[in-house]
Amino acid sequence: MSESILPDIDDVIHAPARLAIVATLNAVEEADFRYLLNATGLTKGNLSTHLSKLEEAGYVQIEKTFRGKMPLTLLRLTPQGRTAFEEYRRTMLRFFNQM
Amino acid sequence: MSSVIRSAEQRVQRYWTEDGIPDLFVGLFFVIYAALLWWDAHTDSGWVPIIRNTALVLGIVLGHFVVQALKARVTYPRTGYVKYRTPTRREIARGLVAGLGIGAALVLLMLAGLTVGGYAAGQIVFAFLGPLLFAGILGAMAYQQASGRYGVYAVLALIGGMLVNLASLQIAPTAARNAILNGAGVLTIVGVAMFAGGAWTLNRYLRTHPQTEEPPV
Repeated sequence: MSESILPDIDDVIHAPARLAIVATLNAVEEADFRYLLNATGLTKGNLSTHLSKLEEAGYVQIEKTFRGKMPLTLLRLTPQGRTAFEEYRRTMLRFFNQM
Repeated sequence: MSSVIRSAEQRVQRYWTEDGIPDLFVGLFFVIYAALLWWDAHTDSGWVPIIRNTALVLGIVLGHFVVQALKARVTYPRTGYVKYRTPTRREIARGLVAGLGIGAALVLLMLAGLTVGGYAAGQIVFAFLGPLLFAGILGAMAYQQASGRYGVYAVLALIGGMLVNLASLQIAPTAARNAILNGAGVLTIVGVAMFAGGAWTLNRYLRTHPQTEEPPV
């Protein structure tokens, strides 16, 4: 396949597990780690690894806080993350429309 | 790709009703409000409309807080916490336009019934409007969440509500008939269905998501 027709895909978002994470976080203001575990079906280790990658890219903000005495990890997409996801969605739609 | 994104969005929307708690609260509220409508139709007391309207305002204002408090105790420790996005200005505008459009269409429908067929036809159209509105709202939620349960509520609202209202038109004008046509009939049907559906859903949710001693994440 010629390189010229390959879209400029954001590899950080494109991986299936990270796409599920970003798509879920895009639909909410914030969610906790437990919710993402249930929503994505990933293991704890797997989810942590993907969240670290998204945090390194500046797409996800991870906040460790407390609810009462219980530790709580809150996750939210950064403005950069939301923009990147919208751009990814548009790029993929353009790509499929050209096929 | 788009199905992954779409199903993630639907799953998030469905999470709000996944534990059945909103159904329980709304169902109970509808039944209580239907009872107040019935009471209002059968009494001359000036206090009843005040009580009814106060109950309506309290239900709307306090409902979200009550449901959130129950979720904080029951749902979030089991399957996690979500804070939903506030709608964007565009989404609010779209909702307002859709609401006004639907409202205008319903008013035109009623006026058409009254103009073409007279009072009797207008009453029949009015008997359809309440169930149609409920079915529309519940049907939209069913679509947004891909929820079969809300689809069932929508069908019950439409068919059950219309049958009850049309049956009430067969009896002579009485307080009971007025109460039913003012919404007591469809509210009772939808309220009972949602309360039962919510109870069944909560029972299933608690069985499939027992609270564990697992350390928090």
